Amino acid sequence: MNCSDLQDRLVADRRVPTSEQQKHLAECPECRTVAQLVHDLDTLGEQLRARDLTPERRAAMLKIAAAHLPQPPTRVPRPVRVHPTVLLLATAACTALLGIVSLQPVPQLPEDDPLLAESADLDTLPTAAQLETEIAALHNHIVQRSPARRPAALPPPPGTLGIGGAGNALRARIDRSLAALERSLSTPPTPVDEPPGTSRKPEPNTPTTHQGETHHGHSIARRTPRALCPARPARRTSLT
Amino acid sequence: MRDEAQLVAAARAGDADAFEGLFDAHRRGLLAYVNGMLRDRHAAEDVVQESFVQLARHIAELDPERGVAPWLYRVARNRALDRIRRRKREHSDGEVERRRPLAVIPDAAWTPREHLLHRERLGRLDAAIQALPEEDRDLIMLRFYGNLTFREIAIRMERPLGTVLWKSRRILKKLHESMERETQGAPA
Repeated sequence: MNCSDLQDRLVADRRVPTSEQQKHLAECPECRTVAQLVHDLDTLGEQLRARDLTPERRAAMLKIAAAHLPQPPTRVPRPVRVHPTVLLLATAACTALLGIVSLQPVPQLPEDDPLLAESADLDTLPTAAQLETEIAALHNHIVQRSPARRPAALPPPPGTLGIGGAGNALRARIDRSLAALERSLSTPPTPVDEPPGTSRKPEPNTPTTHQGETHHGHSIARRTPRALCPARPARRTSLT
Repeated sequence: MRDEAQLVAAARAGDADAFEGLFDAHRRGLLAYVNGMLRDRHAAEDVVQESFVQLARHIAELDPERGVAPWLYRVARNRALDRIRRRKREHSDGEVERRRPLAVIPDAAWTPREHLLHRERLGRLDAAIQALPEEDRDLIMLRFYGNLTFREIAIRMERPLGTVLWKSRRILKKLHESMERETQGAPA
């Protein structure tokens, strides 16, 4: 029996020595020393390895490390590639769809709808000459009520108003207000479903023109639509 | 039961269960090896954690023929040496760094006297290992603390298997002589 073979076997293989090797161990002090040393080293290693991680630490350590693993190829999202032609076709289809939707016929209102009755009043608009006269009268009235800004000249002739082309928008606005005013005068609103005692009354100290309506342009413009619209009840101003 | 090459192949494909198999196969030995180097349980756990993170990151580059252990223990050793160097720098202001002795877990069958003898003998053995040159110490710790095979140690140390075996015999002889000297020098 060769000493080095036995010692290699003791260190490397860690197998239980055969009977022949055990006989040699009993006779050879050097091999016996090596065997004892290997046994002690094994014990020391086992002692160290026995001190394992706690289950919580092990789980946490594994979770952290496994998070760095390469992701399987099936989990990697593929980039979406759209051919420009497909994109163009999709855009065209969307545009056509929107066009079809916008070309749908507008739903017709029933004949007895109050909105239709109101729109019928638009056919009886005043003529241009009547409007000119009304505007001139209104202009004179305003000028007379503001003495500090009273102009030296007389009111401008009908059709010009003396405010030039820039006043066309203002004129159109006044026209609309006057038309609304006329409509309200010709068809006074009737109170609908109004409880007694809540009907609106004109304020006693308010100066009036045109059959009791306020004469300030802004007030007329604001209040007339509310008074005309049958869907909206009149504002309740009862103080009691 | 899958062998290590299969586990590596599966872990490369992102299989967390296969990685767990590798983790469980190596964590105890690696922890014992690093703890033997650092003598600091918490620091050793941190090094083991970092080593397994590195393994997960670089598992695709691993050669399954060479096995996981040589690569893993090299990473752990480098990390542990970094920590030792850092610790030395921190203690360079004159404070003497003391190495903590390894804790010996008593066997249930041991009597108190046996436990004491074991502790004393293993303590002397550990001191003798620490006194070895770095490469020799590494070989012994890989073999007995890490429980690596000589083939794995040969790959890890990049030496022929025969050289590693011859070297281990020589180291054992040296250890024995060192312990004998200490026993003779110790008061009776």
